[in-house]
Amino acid sequence: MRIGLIAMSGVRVRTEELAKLGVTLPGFVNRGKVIASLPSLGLLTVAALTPPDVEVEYIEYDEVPTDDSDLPRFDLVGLSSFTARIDATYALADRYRALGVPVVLGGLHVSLMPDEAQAHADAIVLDGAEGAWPELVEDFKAGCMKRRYQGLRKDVFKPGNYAKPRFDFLAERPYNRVTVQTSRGCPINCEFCAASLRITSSFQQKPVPLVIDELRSATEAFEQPFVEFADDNTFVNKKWGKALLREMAPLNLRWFTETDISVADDPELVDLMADAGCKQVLIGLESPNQGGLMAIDPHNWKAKRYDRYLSAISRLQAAGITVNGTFVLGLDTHTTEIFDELYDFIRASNLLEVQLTVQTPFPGTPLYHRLKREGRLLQDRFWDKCTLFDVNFRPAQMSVEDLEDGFARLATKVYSDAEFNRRKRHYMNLSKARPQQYLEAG
Amino acid sequence: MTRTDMERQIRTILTRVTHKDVAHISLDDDLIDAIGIDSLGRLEVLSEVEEAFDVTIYDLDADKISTIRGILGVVDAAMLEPV
Repeated sequence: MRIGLIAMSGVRVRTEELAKLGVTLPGFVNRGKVIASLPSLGLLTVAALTPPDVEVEYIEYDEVPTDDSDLPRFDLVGLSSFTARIDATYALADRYRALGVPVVLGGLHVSLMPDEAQAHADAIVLDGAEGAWPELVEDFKAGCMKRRYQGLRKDVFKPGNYAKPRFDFLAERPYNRVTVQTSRGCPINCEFCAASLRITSSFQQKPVPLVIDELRSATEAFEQPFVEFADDNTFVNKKWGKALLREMAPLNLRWFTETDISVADDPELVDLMADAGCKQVLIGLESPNQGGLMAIDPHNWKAKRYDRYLSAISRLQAAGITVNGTFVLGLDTHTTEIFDELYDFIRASNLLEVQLTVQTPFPGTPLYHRLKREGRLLQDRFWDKCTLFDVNFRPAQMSVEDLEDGFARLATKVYSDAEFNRRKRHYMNLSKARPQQYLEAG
Repeated sequence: MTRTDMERQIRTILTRVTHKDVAHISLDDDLIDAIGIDSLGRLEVLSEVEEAFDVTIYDLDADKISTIRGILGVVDAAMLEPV
């Protein structure tokens, strides 16, 4: 028996003007390109959960073959993708089913929109594949596959549930980054977040020995790979983080992760991160003003830390950990003044990299439900425009056109050669001023 | 400092930053393809190059610093900059 696990990669900006900007301003789409070129850790985990007597093939499609005769044949196909590519995923699922190949759909979007996904699949898996996939495969072999399987929302890294992703599938493929997950979920719970917290009932943290084992496996096929932790917030638990970093330091890796601003509050943690080869952290700063941060998470966690933003960025970058600051434009408190305000903040912060995004109501998120309730969604269905750059809703304090024009104008300034070079120059000067301990750690 | 000395020093810096043997790569080999250096690594290399040669490199265009010859070129240009 052969199972094909197919990841649909690649995201394209739909708004014409922004698509053109993507061509002329590489910095604008850099992070999106990185994400789109990462392997699907979810499907590599599904592969690991597959019983050993079943043959598995892992495929990534940016462009799907147009001719059915070019589609590889399997006994069962598993498909997963993010929202922006879900329609292409459904189309591929429909083609396979028309060819008589049963299809299983899973992943974040499918978990949030199960009824929609069900129409394109013989079976769907909700939430984590752990606790569902092994049973599904056995049912399929026995000819009694059910329509829906509920995966685990907690205890996903516990013995008996956990499976180490099949990193062996990555060998001989041209990845410039390999991904390892240390956690699922995030306790901050921002209204717009469409990440792994939506498929977990609480923050799930992988034991340190498992992370180290995965790092060794994920990197062995590559010479000096760059590791990207596929987490939403790695250092929620600082004690766990320090234990991990002490174990990671001898591995001599360079790595990136997503975390929150509180890492900079702990100098020992920052030192350990630098020693362990952390080169960049992505932090959701969201807004350059405190007002913009109000109510984006239930406890105003980010708003309460706004006054530490600049000092935290400075502390991390001084340690050789560059900060990729991400911002969400079009929050309900944002007026047309936000664009100039954010530009000034970015200049003042000296962030090496900046990710500008438009607030995006991903289906199934609290933001989506609220905007739908308020009649502010521009279309009923706009999944292919969930790119983080296209506007899909009516902002509270400006027009859609104001948001689109302001975003494009700001992106043009922020990602210009002159501005990017200014930020690079600042980082290089910091590198030279850095204590020797950090240079040797790199 | 001779051109050969400069090249040797740049290779030493590349090895220190990337932990890779760069003896085998030619002046014109793309550093991304040859040793997988990323954009952050390139900035670290340039910082060390600036210190080693006591220059300030203003031209940080990624295309121009994608090879050892390219780095030599921007160092040459920086040395000609009026102080």
